[in-house]
Amino acid sequence: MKTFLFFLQTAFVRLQRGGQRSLVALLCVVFGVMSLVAMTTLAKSIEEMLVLEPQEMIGGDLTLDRTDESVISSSSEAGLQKLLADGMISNYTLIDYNTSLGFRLPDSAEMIFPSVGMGVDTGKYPLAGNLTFVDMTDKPLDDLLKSPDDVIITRDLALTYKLNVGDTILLSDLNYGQPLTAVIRGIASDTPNHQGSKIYFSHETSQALTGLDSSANTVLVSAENPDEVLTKLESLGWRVFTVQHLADVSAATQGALAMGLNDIGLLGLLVSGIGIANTMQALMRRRRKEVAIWKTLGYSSGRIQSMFIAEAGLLGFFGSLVGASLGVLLSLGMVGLFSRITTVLVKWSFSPKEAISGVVVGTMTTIIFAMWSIVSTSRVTPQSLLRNEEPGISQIPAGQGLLLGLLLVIPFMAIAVWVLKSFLTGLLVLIGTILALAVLGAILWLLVFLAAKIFPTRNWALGKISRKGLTQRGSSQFFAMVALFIGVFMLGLGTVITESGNQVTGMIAGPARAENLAIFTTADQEQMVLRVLADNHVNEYATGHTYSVNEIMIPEKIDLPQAPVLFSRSDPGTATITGALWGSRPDGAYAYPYTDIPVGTMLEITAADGSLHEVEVVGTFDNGDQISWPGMNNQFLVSEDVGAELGDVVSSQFYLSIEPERLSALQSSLGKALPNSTLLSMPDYQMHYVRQYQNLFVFVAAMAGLAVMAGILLVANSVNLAMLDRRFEIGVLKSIGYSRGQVIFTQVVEYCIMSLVVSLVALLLIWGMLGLSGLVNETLSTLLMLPPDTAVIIGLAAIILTGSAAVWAAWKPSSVSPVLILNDRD
Amino acid sequence: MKSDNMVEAVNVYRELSSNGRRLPILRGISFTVSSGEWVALTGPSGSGKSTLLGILAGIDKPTSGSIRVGGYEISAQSENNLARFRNQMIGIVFQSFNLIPTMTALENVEAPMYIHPNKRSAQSQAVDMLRQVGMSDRLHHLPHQLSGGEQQRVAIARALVTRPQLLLADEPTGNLDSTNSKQVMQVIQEMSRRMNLTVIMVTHDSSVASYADHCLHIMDGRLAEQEPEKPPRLPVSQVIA
Repeated sequence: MKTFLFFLQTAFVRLQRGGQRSLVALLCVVFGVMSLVAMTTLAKSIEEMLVLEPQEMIGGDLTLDRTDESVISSSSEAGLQKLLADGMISNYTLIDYNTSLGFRLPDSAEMIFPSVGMGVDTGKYPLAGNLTFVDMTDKPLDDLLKSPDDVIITRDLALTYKLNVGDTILLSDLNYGQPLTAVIRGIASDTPNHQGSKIYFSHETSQALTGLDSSANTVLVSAENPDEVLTKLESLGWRVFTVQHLADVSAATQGALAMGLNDIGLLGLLVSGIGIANTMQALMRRRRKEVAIWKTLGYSSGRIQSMFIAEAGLLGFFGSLVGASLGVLLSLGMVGLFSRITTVLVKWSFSPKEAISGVVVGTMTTIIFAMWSIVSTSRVTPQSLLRNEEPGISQIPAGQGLLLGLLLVIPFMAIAVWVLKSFLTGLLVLIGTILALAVLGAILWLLVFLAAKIFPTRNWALGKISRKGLTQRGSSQFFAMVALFIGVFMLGLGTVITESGNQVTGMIAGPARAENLAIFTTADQEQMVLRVLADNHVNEYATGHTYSVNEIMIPEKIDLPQAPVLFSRSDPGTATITGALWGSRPDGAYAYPYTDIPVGTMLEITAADGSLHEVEVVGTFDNGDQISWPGMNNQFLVSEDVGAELGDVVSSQFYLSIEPERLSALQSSLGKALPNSTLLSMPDYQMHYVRQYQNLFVFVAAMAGLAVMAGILLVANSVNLAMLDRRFEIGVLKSIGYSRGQVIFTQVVEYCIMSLVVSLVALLLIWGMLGLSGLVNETLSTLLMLPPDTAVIIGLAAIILTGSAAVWAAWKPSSVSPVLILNDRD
Repeated sequence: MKSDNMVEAVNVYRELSSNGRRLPILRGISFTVSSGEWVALTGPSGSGKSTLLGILAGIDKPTSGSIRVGGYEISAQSENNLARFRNQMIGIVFQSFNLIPTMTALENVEAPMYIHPNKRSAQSQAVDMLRQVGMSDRLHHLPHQLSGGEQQRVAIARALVTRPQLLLADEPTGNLDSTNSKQVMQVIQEMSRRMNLTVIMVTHDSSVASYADHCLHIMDGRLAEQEPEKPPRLPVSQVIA
């Protein structure tokens, strides 16, 4: 016990007095454990959002809707009631599923678009899963949604737009237009299928939003034997969705994502382990003499190994404590970032088990990766002490080396299996990663070697020293090169994503659009709108209407009834018309091209008054890459005359083209003058998509930042090692007149050459990948790009960071007096 | 007081292999050293003195021959047994002091005690030994904070804290000036007297060799014997500065 305590005390003191080298080793451990804990916590948080009960995916055993009805009729519901009475289904509830909602705050013109609005039966919903609330309220749903102006929003909307219980919002169905002043009565922390970006309200609210007497369009059903009742339901004209397929796909997707994150965590740990191995090699090399001294005092190789294992263990423990703490904090940020790029309500799920596991794994990893240099150094033969020489090491025999290697691989393999939760996956990932790193490192080393060979150094002594360092000792920079490559590659990839996002949003926005402001309103508000427009000197605009008819059928596709809605416009606006020119066939209809309804198809339309009409499809309309106004797609576009003849007006629209500099002010003044209408500016609508890309970039940038950090850490590590190797050389250089600055400069040049080559390779690889993807898909060639000037900035940043790391790592070692180095004293 | 033989070397050979060639370092050396005796190993550079010392210390093995220290045959022992031998039976003092740079004087002297059977009193014995060599006011200094002579005294304390039977000293004054050299030699002399140590010391310096009872002169790996000139013995109070 006393001996063990002495070992620990000695190890602790040695770490304290280790200076920069101990710090670099500590940072390697911190980085590795931080990555591991952050990624595994993020993965766990995502995994917990995996829907465990398939019914939670869709809120029941089955989801039903009807293609022949835009809303569920009372006769259709009667069919369900009979099934309930017969015991074929155990329960059902009607849902108003709405994807055309937008809301704004009373004092803001910005429209916010949730993914979905859910009008629910407050007495029954949900049939499966839970709707939980941020303030842990036990109030039942029908208490929270008592009146028609009560709504519940999910916590992601509340966080993003800083909304609280009691806040007022102006909510609109853009297919109808009349806004509803609503009050937030609850903030949902979780929903049955863990999806966010939702607004919940009662059926009454839904009716007020849509102007319809009944607005339910979906049914959730619980049944003991879903497969049995499926056939019956289909025979009654229902379109039925079952849970299992959806659950399997979702689980696979989210499982793959969680696995990917765990892989990244493990990779971070592996990279840090490599850094630890490098650093321990450097530390042990400096202590060969010390080991020889211990041996002369009677310490055996085994005891010496125990001492150094204690030191590695302490280093691993303290580094892991810091790393685990930082990892927990980082995971909190990553969960927040991740939530913003998806609609999944990922909750930060922290358990002390993850952090404690991280500390244990980090400590074990440090010991594992330090073992080779510990065992190797413990073989020091102390005879050289009697000759005042630096002790040599007798190499580990091949057989013993192989055994040692296996003994080290096995525990790290166990760690990999534990992190990835699968033996086969752990084995494949570990072997695959090591092989990939080895091949990559070999290629990079070769390229750096060649670059160093051709580096011009005529009459430049410092350059010659740098070149010699690269060609003779470049292998010690192996891992630094690999880590830096990964960092630059990730950063470049993140830039490609941002640039493509800018491309997409640029395409979406396009050149200044002809129409950039829309007014959605009810038919009875049209005159009011016209008056306000005139008052504001807006004289040019297009009009549109949504008409409901009884039925639209295509004889050739009798099994695919069409939504009984017609959309009319006074002009096609920004849509691209193919087929008959607009106005040349005012009696015809234009189909949305992706509905696969060919030109010439005859539509059989039962008008609102019950009369039957035939309307020919004379062309298609398409907005191309631009975002279309809500409600336009998936409908048949007709002239105002045809629409008015066949249908009842559901809503009216006005489309304005306003000078961009006037847009915001006009939107605000029109908004105040038209409290019963909903105004939507195209820039606001586009922002909705832009924001998702921006959040995605932030997430990718965060991941790339971690990779770059790893690269810089290993560069610093590598420089430290190099400075140790070259102590005597530095002493000689300084003794013949080289200054400290010149010594550091040789290091900077050496590592900048390395960084230049590595960055170039990474960026060229990205360009190669983009070129290949462009060959496969033409759209990708215009969408995915890495502009040369951006690539130059990334490369320069990498070089500057590397150079700075080299200066930092070389600063102290280069300050030692040549006398001390040449006398080999610390 | 001379008693039984502490060291018995019989026909010790030591060869090294270098680029396929065999290089003889020691060529059949045989000698004995009695308990309590002080022997100086002298000879020109490359004669094999340090190699012989290394063999006696158990940190090198003879190619052939037999070495017994304190009755213990060390020429064919395992690594672990030799480690125990170094810890319990001998102490070594080097020319370059070879203190562990990250440990204080006290920690350096404690170090061998923590694997010794008497480890319980490690600290107290270390403190006592440092006091005996006159370093009680430097317990918590790191080696770079000590002068050469002070470092060598700490090294002597470290070598003797385990109460070995044999002290091996390799040019103990090689890196010291004449004043410090004299002080260090007097410390060794006094401690060897107190502890009835057997001392084998490698030296080039005839004034240092004069402290020995007799000399073993090694030339080209072989042994010749000559008597040293004896120095005066000083009282303890004048030894410990």
